[in-house]
Amino acid sequence: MSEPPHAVLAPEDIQRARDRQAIEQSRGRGFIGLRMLMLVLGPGVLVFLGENDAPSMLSYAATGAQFGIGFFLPFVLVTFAIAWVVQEMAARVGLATGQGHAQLIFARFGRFWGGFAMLDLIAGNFLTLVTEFIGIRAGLGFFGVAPVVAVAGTLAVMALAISTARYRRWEQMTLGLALGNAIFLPVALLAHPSLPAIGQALLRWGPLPGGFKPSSVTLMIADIGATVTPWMLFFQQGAVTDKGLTLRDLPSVRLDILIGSVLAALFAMAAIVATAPLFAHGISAGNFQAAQFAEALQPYVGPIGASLFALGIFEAGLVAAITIATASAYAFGEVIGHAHSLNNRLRDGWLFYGVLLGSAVLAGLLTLLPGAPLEEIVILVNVVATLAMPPALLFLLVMVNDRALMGAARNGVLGNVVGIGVTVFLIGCGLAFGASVVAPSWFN
Amino acid sequence: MDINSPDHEQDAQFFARRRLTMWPRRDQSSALTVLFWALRLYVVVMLAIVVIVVRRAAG
Repeated sequence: MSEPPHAVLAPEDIQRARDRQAIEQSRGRGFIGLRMLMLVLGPGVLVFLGENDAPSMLSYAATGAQFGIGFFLPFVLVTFAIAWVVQEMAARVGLATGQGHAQLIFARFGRFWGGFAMLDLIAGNFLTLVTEFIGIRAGLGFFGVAPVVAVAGTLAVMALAISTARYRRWEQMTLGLALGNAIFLPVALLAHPSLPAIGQALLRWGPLPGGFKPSSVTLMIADIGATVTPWMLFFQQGAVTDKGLTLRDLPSVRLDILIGSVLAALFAMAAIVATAPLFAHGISAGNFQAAQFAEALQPYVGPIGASLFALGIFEAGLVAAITIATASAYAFGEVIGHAHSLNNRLRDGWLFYGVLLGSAVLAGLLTLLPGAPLEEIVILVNVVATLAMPPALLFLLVMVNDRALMGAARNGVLGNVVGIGVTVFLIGCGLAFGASVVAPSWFN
Repeated sequence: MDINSPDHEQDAQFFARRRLTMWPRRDQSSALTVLFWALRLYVVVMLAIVVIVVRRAAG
């Protein structure tokens, strides 16, 4: 390791030091450290609510509509538990090293393997960004908003968020938007769910209605991809680094990730519960898109519930567009060695901000192309994310066990057993998906 | 909060050093290289399967 003895300070270092002082001054003050937690809280909540994006919420909606709640409510809880383990490891690497995920992969594994990791990330992120704009278009389309206005409005919000050139303000603004994901809770309540049935589903993991068929395997993989994806690793590590957090903050960061995962699981389950009436009434929703879900739900949740559902899909797309584009920009800046911080002034980090906004502009424009066959990829985007996850997890597992990088913060035996178990599980899910496509008769 | 205090200067130096630290490439065992290649092959095969699904859906 070569560490500069006296480094030239950049504006981002000064901003981080300022945030650091605020955290240190709040340590031990206030009710059970709540003040400090509020300062540390952010990256974990954002990454999980960002991942409750338009395709993810549509996957959950399709799940509720096609299979009800019996099997999938506990299944979703398990996927979020898996996601907590993975995100905690990514955050820990960021806290220990103060460097981003892409930067460390390139440094420790070289350009060849780093290039593959970036290829997976950039391709996956761009595909997902396109689907966010499809969700934004469809959600606002329910209210009669023209697609071009929906796309331009989203880009304007993204530009406003980064215009402050301050990580904390960007985080506060994005967090405010992300909490809008709670909109799926009233939709679920308007569907008049049976609380004993929900309790029973959570306590007794019911069988999958109709057994394991190719369509159910695809939805299962999509639901896994709705909680664990490669961009989340890059964002989590980049955000804790950008925020100036260190290993001293590990307990609070773990809590931040836990709060994020619990909130996201709650909202995901609300989407499943909200669309479960379609399953109960035998309405086929296999190929529904956002607006069609809202229209189909109207008889069961009323016009207000349908409007909230459409608004929820728009909100999910908006927040994810911000966080996913940021993850791409972090990775790009880290790899080419250009300034890559939301604490940078626009003229210092022009390339970072350019990638952030440019990728969103390109994805938004693609969805405005007339006749582009993009609707088919919405659910499949989450499947692709699940399939790309095992190599990303291998990089993470090697780094989190790297004695030079992590020192005493490296993984223990339990962390490795769980981490390797998650990787093997995801590979198994991918192989099951492959078999369901190549040999569907095995599943009938 | 005094941003000109020594603590602040020290913290800013700490963050600058962390940011500019160059980590050398690690020695990669052949077992790990095989694992990387195996997972790369896995991703390529799986993406081919996704293409099949998209083509079937479009057709």
